[in-house]
Amino acid sequence: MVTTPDPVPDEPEAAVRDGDPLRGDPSRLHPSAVAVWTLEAIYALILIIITGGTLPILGAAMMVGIVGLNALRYFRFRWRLDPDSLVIEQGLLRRHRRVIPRDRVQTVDLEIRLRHRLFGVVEVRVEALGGGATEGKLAALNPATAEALRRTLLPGPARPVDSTPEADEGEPLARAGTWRLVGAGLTGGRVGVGAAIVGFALQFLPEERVAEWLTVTNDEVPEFFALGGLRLLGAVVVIALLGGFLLSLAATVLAYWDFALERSGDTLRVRRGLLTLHRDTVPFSRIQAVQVEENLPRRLLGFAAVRIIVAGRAGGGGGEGTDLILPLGRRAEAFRLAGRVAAHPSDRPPELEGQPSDAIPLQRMPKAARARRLARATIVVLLGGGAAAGGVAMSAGAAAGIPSSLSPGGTGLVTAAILGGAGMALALAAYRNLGWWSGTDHIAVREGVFTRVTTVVPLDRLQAVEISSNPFQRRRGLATLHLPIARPLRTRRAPRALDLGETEAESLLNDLSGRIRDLPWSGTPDHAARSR
Amino acid sequence: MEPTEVPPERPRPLDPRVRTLWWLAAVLRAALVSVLTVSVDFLFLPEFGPAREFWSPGWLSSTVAIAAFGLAILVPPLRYRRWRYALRERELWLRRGILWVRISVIPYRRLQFVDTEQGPLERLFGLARVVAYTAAPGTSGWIPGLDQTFAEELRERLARLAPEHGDDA
Repeated sequence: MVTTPDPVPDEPEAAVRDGDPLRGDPSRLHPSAVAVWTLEAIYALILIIITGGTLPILGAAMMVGIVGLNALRYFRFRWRLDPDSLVIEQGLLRRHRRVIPRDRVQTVDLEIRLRHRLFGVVEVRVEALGGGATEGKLAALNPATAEALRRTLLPGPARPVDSTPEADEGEPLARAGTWRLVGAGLTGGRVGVGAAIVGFALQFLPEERVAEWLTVTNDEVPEFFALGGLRLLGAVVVIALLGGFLLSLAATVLAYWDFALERSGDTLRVRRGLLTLHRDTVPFSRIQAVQVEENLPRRLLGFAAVRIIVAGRAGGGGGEGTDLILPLGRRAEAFRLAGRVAAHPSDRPPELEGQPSDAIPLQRMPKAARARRLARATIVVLLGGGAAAGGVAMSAGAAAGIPSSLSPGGTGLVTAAILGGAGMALALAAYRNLGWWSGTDHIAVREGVFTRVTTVVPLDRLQAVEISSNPFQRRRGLATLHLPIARPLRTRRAPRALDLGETEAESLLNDLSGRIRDLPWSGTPDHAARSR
Repeated sequence: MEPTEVPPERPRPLDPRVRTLWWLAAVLRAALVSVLTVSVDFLFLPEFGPAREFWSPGWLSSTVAIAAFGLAILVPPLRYRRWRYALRERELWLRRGILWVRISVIPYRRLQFVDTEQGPLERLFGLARVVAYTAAPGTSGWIPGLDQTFAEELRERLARLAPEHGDDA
């Protein structure tokens, strides 16, 4: 179990031994850690530069202070690899010791930012299963040590950090070149869609009406609108949104530059990045589920993205999280990749590959599920129409000069009609996107309205099986099957098959629990069920 | 429910005392809610609420009080009737819920931690709950309202059934 940071009374501060940290000799980081840490605090540096511009002496003093603190930090930092754990000790005032048992390690990632490249060092991040902050971070190591550490902590052959993939025994699984990344950025941006909608809608806004309505509530506003203020405001908003969109597009391309995914023995390796190089390693045994994500633009164009769910992965670093194993690919490719990753390390041919269709043959949910989606949409429509009508009625009550074309009933009906059309379309889409599939070694579920997510869970990764039903579901003979797996805390909920027929759900419950009760889980061999 | 008897694989109910415990807790909660509503009703609403023609003092309080105490009386026995658990050969089976029903099946192999917990009211009644954790986040399953000695024994039992050193990768 990862121990919480505490002063260590029983052990004197580990003296740095001139030896091999990988054999248990406490060592320091690479000396450039001082510079790396200093450069890390970019906001502080900016502040110093600004201060230095006006008061050079103060700026210089602050600089010396920060460098000095980091130097102290460097001298106090110790790390070593014991036979069964990675131990990191640090702290200026309070000694803080983090012990990460080797069998709890989930992933080992190498990050090489610009500041690391200046000194030819590498940052190592070790993620482990456990409580909140279970990450072990070694800010600056020389590349050989880093690679050796990665090799020792995880299975699979080692390779030099800067080597090209062709030189290694890794089996390439996926690539993403620049154009694909641009495509990923273009189709992934939520901002872009928002900007388009806002810009479009603003053209139709009846400026005079809005001005009148606002005049009723605030007297200073008319001048603003007389100067064409609304158009200007609209333009500013659209430009801001577009600017944000372009920035996120650039960020995506940079974060996933030269993306390469390969299989190396029992681990999956991701290589990406331009300014910051990422070399991530995930043992297959740590992958709890694989997800194929199809958001609306991508679905229309026939593309998808693939993610893996790794327990304890905080998703730190990188634009969209380090769990993306295919930023963008054709649908067939995405599902093939998902099938392969989910199937490993079975010796049997992946059961999800070689399907007649290019994706997993999902089964539909019962028709009653569609009725349920529509019913929910109807409620939203009624509430929306009612709210709009109520809003108009209230403002009519508040001031006398309301334009006569806006009546509560009329507004209510129009809103309801618009919402109704949209609601029905969404409800039908939601129903069509629901699906499930049960194979010999895997179970797959799918749901989503705008973004359709298919989750494939190898059976041995299931921690339990659950079904739930609320009164509305029971009325229609439906139930939901839940697939609890080890996953990062930031994910909203476990994968599930929503609105299955209840007999189907029950038989799946029995079937799955029957199959998993004897399957070992390849995850953390924990000191299980210790009474606490 | 004898601690020493071999747990059958059939679903069994909780200790009957937990029904009384739930009643007591629910009544206390209802009383608290009613008191708060009374203060809102008689102190807050006359000053800041809607005009007098829409309500009169005491209307809100009595509605809330009736609802709260009504639920307090009706819900616990229903809840007791619905709670079931079974210790099957290789897994734990749990069922709970009145409106929102949940059935969970947890293989012993997947158990990471098993705790017993006891709040102040539970201590009063000599009851405890057993909470089981797997690698999935949050609690995977729990059984409230067990006799505390039995709860301890059950926890020990589950701890032994769960893998000792975990499973191989």
